[in-house]
Amino acid sequence: MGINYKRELEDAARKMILVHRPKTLIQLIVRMIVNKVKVHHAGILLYNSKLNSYILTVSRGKVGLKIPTGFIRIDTDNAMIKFFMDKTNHRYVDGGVLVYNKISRMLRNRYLLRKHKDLKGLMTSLKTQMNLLEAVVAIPSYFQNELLGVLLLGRKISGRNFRRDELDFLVALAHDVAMAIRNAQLFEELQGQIERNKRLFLETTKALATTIDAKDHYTRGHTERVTRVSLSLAKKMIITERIKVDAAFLDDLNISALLHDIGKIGVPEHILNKKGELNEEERRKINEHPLIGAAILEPIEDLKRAIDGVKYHHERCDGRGYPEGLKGDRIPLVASIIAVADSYDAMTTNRPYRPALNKKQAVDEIHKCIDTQFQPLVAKALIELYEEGCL
Amino acid sequence: MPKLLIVDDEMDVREFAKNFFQRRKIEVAVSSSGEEALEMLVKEKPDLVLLDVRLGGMDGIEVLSKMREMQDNTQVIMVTGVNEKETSDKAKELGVVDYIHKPLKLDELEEVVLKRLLKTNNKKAG
Repeated sequence: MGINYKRELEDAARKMILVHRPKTLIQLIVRMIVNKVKVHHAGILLYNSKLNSYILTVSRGKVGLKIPTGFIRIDTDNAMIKFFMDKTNHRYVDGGVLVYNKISRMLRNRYLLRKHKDLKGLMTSLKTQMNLLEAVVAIPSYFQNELLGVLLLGRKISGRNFRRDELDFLVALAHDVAMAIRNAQLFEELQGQIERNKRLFLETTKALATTIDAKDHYTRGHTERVTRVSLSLAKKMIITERIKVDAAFLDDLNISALLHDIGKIGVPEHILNKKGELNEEERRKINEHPLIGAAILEPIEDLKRAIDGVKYHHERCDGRGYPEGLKGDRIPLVASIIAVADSYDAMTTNRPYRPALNKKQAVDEIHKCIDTQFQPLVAKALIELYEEGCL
Repeated sequence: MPKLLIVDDEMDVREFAKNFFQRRKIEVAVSSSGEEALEMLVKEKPDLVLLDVRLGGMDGIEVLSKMREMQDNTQVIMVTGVNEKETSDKAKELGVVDYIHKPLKLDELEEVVLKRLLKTNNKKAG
């Protein structure tokens, strides 16, 4: 007794569930067929909607016999593809499976040929196709009624014919392959949709962020620059300081940096754009913007960490910041990063009350305020970025 | 027996095509590079060359130009990728008898090659 096909099939089905990339999956299956059923070569033709053609996507086996991957295509007007596409043809062959020997036998059966007038022409052209492909078995793979692909098998190494149980196994496999390919395609489409949604969310956030820049004349482009520097700082810290962050950290930081000044929407324009020094009342009003921003975003549950950045980006390490006077490690990392990027950008742009500092002066200023105002690791990352010419 | 020279840098392709045409009663020589192909042309004197455009060293077009420079007028069928209009234009200019796009149809490959070889063989016989 050879191999236990039922077990192999179950094993293959299990693997298929785990693999989401169609190509990997098909490679796995073809390799299994070549090894377990022991054929000279095997390959899978897969439908390619762009070319409206079936392409030999995976091929394995003996060099010289196996058709090179990607080398051939079979168009939809090809006799074999047409035969498989029309499921009424299944009346001639069991399950639509083409077996070379059976075709030859049919072509010798005068009674059968007389009974079905078109059979001779049809079987002759199928035989020609199988000859071209060096295939002795061709198995269609459908999803619902769509022909997704064709499994092609060369001769067995033993020279024997395919047994019934082997053919049944391969048909079941081809069916599972079709299902798995469809699943994998659906999975890929879903991934694409998630990506699109994410992009849409980010674009919307950017649009929202620009409303602040429009209101605050002195900070035009500020949001974009703070976001860029914040992300650079975080990446630098991940690489050189090996800080541990989760997968969503950079996304959250991105959103948070874009929205860090959103609360300025609630600050009167004449205060934001005032040319002289601010009085105490005006200063108090401006210092409310982190809390206003946090309140605006609070209903959005998924933004929790991003809101931390908005709310606490004016806190200081020594506890003399606002709105809550948090100290040191109590300040969320997102906020500490934005704080450095925000101060750096404020210093390097012209303000109504003073001209811009150059990069070196600004970095020196940040250096001076390590431990009092800025989180040391973040400040260090900024200095390194400056030294590498990455600011 | 008509003779075909297959030029392709991929072993899988070379060996498959060799096997494919040998089974169709054609004598086959193969080379894996353009440089080797130019030597084989002199040595083997094939009736037809199946020449892939993409090769490791000199590419198919360069091989073809060199052939024409050497006044070698052996018939050439060029094998190109799908979107290589510039290449197929150039190949036409250099007088290829046909070109085939990859991924190709096997029956088309068979027909194009056999038709050409049959023609030259008849000419020889005549």
